[in-house]
Formats: sequence, structure tokens, C-alpha cells
Amino acid sequence: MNAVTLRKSTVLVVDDEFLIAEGLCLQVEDMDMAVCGTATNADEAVALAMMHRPEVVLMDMRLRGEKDGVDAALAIHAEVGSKVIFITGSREQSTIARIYEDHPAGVLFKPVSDRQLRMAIATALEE
Amino acid sequence: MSLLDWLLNPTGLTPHGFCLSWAPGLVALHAGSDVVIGLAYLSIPLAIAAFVKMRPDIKYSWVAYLFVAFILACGTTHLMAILTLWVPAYGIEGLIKLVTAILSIATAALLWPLLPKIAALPSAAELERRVEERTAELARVVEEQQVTLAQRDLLLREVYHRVKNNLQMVDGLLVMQSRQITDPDARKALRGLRDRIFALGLVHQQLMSSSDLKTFDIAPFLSELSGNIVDGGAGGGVALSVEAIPLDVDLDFAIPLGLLVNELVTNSLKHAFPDGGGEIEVNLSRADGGDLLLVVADNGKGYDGEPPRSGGPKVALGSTIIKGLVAQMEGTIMVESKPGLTRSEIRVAAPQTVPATAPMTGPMAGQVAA
Repeated sequence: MNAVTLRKSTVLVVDDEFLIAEGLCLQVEDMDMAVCGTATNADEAVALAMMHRPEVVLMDMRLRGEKDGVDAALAIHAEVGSKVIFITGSREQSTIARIYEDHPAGVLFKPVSDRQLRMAIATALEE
Repeated sequence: MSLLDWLLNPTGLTPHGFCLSWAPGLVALHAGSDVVIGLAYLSIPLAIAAFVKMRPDIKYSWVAYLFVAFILACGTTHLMAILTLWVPAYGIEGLIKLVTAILSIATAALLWPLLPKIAALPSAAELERRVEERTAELARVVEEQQVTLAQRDLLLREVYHRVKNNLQMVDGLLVMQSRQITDPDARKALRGLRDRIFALGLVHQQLMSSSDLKTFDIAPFLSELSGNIVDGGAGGGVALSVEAIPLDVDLDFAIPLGLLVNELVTNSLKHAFPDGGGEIEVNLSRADGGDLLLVVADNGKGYDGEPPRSGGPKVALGSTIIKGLVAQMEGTIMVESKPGLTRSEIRVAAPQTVPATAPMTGPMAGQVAA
């Protein structure tokens, strides 16, 4: 955690809903971390991740366009190695199974509480 | 000569054997054949009668009994023919033939009009085909219903998904709004709103992961809900224990109950422990009458009389919400508070969603809650 205090951890927020993305960004900033960008689709998310190499990605499952959050997460995992925390509106088995095709650092279900977000990010950073 | 004599008195008549000149071969041929025919004609109707008895479902079984009757009568005429070889009982033989004639002609007459009806009875193969047809039809209906059900599930999940997404958007709005606000009381109020919205969202999360998309067990829901409030609130000094009987509930029950727990636990957290440490207990059990008892208690400093209002509008709002939701659930609330124990006890009728399990969970519930 020392490295975290030396340099602010960066977080990429991926969600196609502006209000959700913005809310998450502000909460991340309140946790004393920096948001390196927000993306609304998978390709944009991968491009931003490669550019900024964030420690953590908050990833929505349903994104604009053909590809979903898992597609983006797999690419980011391979290219950058960021910890990806999935934030999904769906708590059903098929979605969870799809998420675990990647190596999620955490799975959160909307609506996400402050505490859940903080704990998930802390756990991801400790790993 | 009376009629009876004419029929029964064989005087003056010669037995049939006489006509055969008592030729042993002819007598034996007639007698032997008539014995065999007579016995066979006794056996066949018995078999037919037994068959009809075994198959009560067979239609027009009365025809079978007509067959039984006239074959029996025929058999008897053959047995009489043996007798008349030696005894000229032609009167009795004639009477039996008359009975046979009536039974035979009746059967013959009734058989023709019946023929088209019997012919119309479906054959076994036809029945088999119809069963297959119906089975296929049923399978199709079941399949259609399954598709409909699957569509309904999909639609419900989509709706829950949207609800949760919208709640997350509301949460985003609240986070954004609270950034614009400097007044600490106002920020606290927004914080309280976010907790309430989270409680609503949690209900939909439980619904989405339940198998019937309608009901879910309240116990893990209460644990997750209370845990989130306590962990998200003050520092780590507050210990929480949640005990709840397993109970399947639906949206209409879970939302007010969840919001009540949210308010009560939040109150304890806000007011009971000025020094930071303490214990909060959430307990859902079944009372003797079958009602449900929700108890939220803390071992904090307590208060006298009315709940504290010093926290600004937040506390007043909390009380209004508690009062209103208890009334909505048609329940009652009892609050006691002294130093070391503040205890709210809410009594509500058990939800009617699954009455079958209610008597079973009763005694078990006592053990779990004890």
C-alpha cells in the first residue's frame, strides 16, 4: 500500500451511462485515487487502458456496441494487466459465468454502495 | 288331451334312435357329435361372459350377453338331441328350440342396426394414433408455455436490471449533488438518501438471483443490508450481529422491512455510540401467534423520552419513515431506551407468499433465534 500513497492509484471507469460513470468517478476521487478516464464502449476502454495503464478498471458488463465488458476486460488483462472490477446490473448465473471467463478482481452488483466499492478496490490493489 | 300332455307326455312317440334303426354306428355318431357340440356350446359362452366381466370398459357388452344366451340355448338343444335318441321328449326339446329361436332371432335382429355403431368404434391402432396425436399436442403446449415462461423470466430480469441501473444512476446524481454542497447537514441527508436507495437496490438484487424471480430468503438480505450500513458508517468499533429465521418474502414485504432495518440500524449507529464502540443487534423471529418480530437493539447511551432530534432534519425524516412503514405493514412498534439498551421491536403479520412453509419454520425458528 506504500506505493499507493506515493503515487495516486489510477482508475479507469467504463460505463455507457454518463450519470453512473460520473458518480463512480467522484466516489473514486473521494477515495483519494485518480480517474484516468471514462469509456463507454469496449474498444475505447482498451485504448484508454493501454494509454494510461490504470491499476484498476471499474467495468460495466453491458456496453455500447457489439462487445461487452468481458471482451474489454480480457483484452485489458492481456495487454495491460490492470485489475478489473466488474460492476453489473445483473445478478443472474449466465452473467456471472460470463464474467468469470475473465479473471475478475471483484464483482459488484448495482446499485453499489460506497463501502462495497472501497473494499473491492482495496482488495484489488492488495492482490 | 291337454296342452301339457301334448307337450310332455311322450306316449305313442318313438325315440329318435328308432328312426336310425338303432344302428350302433349312426347312434354313436349322432350322440358323440351332439355331446361334443353341447359341451363346446357351454364352454364358449362362459368364455365370452368371463371376457366381458374382465373388460367392463367394452361398449355394447349387452350384445355379448345375447351371444352368451343364444349359444347356451343352442348347446342345450344339442344335449336334448342326445336325450331324444332314447327318450321321445320331443315336447321339451321343441320348447327349448323355441327359446333358442327367440334368442337367436333377437340377436340377429339387433345385430344389424348395431353393426355401423360397432364398426365406428376406434380400433386399437386408431386409438394409439390419437394418443400419439394428443401427446404431441400436449408436448407442443408445454413447450409453448415453457417459452412463455422463459420470456417472462427474461422480461422480469430485464426489468430488475433496469431498476438497478436506474437506482445506480440516482446514486450517481446524489454523489454529484453532494459534491456541490458544503453544508455538512445537507451532505449527511444525501448520505442517508443513498443508504435508502441502496436498500431498495438490494431487494432487487435478491429478486434477480432468486429462482422464481418473485420471492427470496430474507435472512441473507438482512445480513447484507445491516452489514453494509454498519461497515459504511463509523469506524470499526461497532459490532453487528444479525439473526433471522429463514423466510421467503416478496418485494412488497422486503422493501418496507428492509427500509425499516436501514432506518433503525442507521439511528443506532448515529446516536448510540458517541465514543465509537458498541454492539448492534438485528433479530427477526417468529412470535407465538405466528407474527414476525423484528428487533433492532444497541447497547449505547440511550435517550429519554422522544428520540433525539439534534441531528437536524435527518432524524425527523427517519422517524416519519419508520412510523409510516410500520403503518403500511399494518404492524406495531415498541421502543424502549435507557442507558445501555435501546430497543425497537416491530411486530408484523407474516407475509402470505408461502403459507405452506409457515408452520414448518415456526418451531425451527425458535431454535435459530434462541
